[in-house]
Amino acid sequence: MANSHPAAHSRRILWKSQGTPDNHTDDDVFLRELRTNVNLRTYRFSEAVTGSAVLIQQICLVIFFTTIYAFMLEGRLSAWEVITGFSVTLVALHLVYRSLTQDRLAPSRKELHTFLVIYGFAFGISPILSTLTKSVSTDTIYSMVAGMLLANLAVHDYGPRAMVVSQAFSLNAAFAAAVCLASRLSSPLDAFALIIAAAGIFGLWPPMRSAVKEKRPRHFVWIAPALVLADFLLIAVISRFFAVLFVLFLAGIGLLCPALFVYLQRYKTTIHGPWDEAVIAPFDPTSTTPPPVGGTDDGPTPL
Amino acid sequence: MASSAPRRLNICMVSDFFYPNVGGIESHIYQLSYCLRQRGHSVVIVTHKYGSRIGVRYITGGIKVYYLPIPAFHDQCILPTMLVSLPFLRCIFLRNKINIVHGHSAFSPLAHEALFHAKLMGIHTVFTDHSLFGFADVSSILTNQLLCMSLATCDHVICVSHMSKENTVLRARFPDPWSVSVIPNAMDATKFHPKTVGPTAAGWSGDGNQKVLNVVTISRLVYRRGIDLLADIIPRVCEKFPQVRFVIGGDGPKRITLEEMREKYALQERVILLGRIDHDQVPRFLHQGSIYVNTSLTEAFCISIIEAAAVGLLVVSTRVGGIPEVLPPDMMRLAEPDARSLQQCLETAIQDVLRGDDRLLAPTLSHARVREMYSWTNVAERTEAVYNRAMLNPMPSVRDLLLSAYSHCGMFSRLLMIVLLLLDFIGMSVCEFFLPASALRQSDIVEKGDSSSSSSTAHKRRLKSNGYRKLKG
Repeated sequence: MANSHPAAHSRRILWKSQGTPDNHTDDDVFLRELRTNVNLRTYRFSEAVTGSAVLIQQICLVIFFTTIYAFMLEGRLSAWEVITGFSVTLVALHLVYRSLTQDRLAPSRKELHTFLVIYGFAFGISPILSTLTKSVSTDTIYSMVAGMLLANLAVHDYGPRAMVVSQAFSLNAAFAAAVCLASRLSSPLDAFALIIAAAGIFGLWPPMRSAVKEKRPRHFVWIAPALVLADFLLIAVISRFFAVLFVLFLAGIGLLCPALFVYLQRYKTTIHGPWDEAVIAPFDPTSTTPPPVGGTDDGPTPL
Repeated sequence: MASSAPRRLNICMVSDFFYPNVGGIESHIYQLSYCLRQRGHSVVIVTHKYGSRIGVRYITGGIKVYYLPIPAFHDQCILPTMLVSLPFLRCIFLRNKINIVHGHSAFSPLAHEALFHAKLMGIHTVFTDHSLFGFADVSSILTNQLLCMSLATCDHVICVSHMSKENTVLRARFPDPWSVSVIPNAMDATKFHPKTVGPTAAGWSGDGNQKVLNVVTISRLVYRRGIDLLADIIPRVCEKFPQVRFVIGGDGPKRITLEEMREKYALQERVILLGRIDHDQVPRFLHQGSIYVNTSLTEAFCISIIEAAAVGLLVVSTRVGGIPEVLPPDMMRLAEPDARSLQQCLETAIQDVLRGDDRLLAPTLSHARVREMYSWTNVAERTEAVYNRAMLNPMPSVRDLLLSAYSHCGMFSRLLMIVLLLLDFIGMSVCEFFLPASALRQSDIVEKGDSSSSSSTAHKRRLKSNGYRKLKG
């Protein structure tokens, strides 16, 4: 068994006294097998900013949904406007989605089925929804909605693998928030419109987003700024102060956090050495060199 | 070798791990204490309570053990509070006139607390690190930071292999590698007799009509011990050598992997899983084998391969951690930690044993060599040299501890340690107010001496009179 580092190990033995005191440190050998920053990946600022775009998109969508609610509550938008707007956008974006992912433009039977179920179910249940939480105070509902939308943001699937990610939980939290908000609106038709909006924003947008990201990465970059602008204008109609606050908040997430991340990378070091846990390579029986049958009969093995 | 210090030291070993818990650290502390007492020092051992075992016990060999009334919190460790153990440890240190506090194991919060309190009380400290640790995941980053804070004031650190020394110096960001010594573990060679039927000559063990060659291994069946590697090579080796049988001792979560392999390749008669084996049964277990295989993926110092070599088995091991340092090349064959290399190495070893290669050492010779390499008396002698070196270190004042001792640990840790030091200082003053050092009576071992060389009757008399002694001061 040839030693991989004969010099490094020549004096590093425990089974024989080396004639040196136990605390002897040989500078030639000590930490010679230390390897630092193997496979270290550092990110540039632009990469970090683009990485944060998905998060910004989701935040914008959540805020977009709540502004629609606010507009309907204040009577700036009628239920019919929301329903027509979302239905037209749905058809349009669906065509785009089909053109990105498949050849055929016409919707499949399964998609039509899902569409009918969601519209029919939301329409049928909207009279119940509109009076569902009459006995609960509006403040309670709003704080619950805030909590559920935050949960949606927290566990949403942004791409990287993490323990907390759960697309199902994220979607459910958003729909629960939509149901709660719908119950604050005055008529069943308003409630129906809000549920349709929620289905479009939280249910159908994520697959669309990943399709655009995969097929049209250059267009994908512009989605987040467009959403920010739309949200800014919508919020500005309600309150200019909050519109400015919104932009500052997004600047913190989209620029300050990536900058901090890139800055802190200077402290990123990795240390590797022979003390690392060995990684077992899977045994590959189909490999070109079959495992030799040990030493031959004349015993060449150095003992 | 004969550099025995004229000075008699009062040593306090501290660790969360001690009997009735069993393991490598536990027996290390016991054997070291026993041999240090034989060399004329007085030794007390401090650990936390085990079940109803609280208070002072004298264990075999007359060693005094304090079981502090602090319950275990997780995995036989106490909850690290840094301050709760202060009153107990202060009393023990003062009553036994401790000169050296020796903490064991980086996983033991009690050891770290003892080092911390001892330094504030002006007692020299030594620490033995028994394990290797990575740098990559969150838990090791945290543990390494704690180790850095704990060892910042330690006079001397002992590691069990050169590899472990490098690892510890990096983990603890130790400024001076010269204050880290390498003293290997040892074993009690009297318990591991050489086997009578050698791997050479007239044979590897005959078993009834058919001759069988046993490949043995004993370890906890966990991922870090490379059980997947073992499960990978067993079917291949069994296919090639019909006379080979694997006997595996130990238990753990990876047992299922071995059982699955055994089912899949129908090797029920040739792969024998014995489950947990008590330490006193290990020699008998090893006597069955001709080859010992160790598949660890990381190891600071592997005591099981020394035990196997002492019995006279040919050792086949993975080349990881400190293992290449442990045995000379003619007693151990090393393979890279992958299935192909290990299989190749094991097959060569099996062929050599079957053929009766004359370069294989006879068990008696192997035993004699291991006995000379690793003995507890030798370890005690070398540890004593470390103690003497630690005693020469200047003792930092409280001011030094506050201002400079933790400067290499980072700002947050430094602030934390300063706060803890101040709290500890207040705690110590409160203890001093209620229980002044002058009012503490001296312990029995300080008054009459604690060397085990004194006759056993004197020892008994001492124990007896202890109960009637009056309070001093």
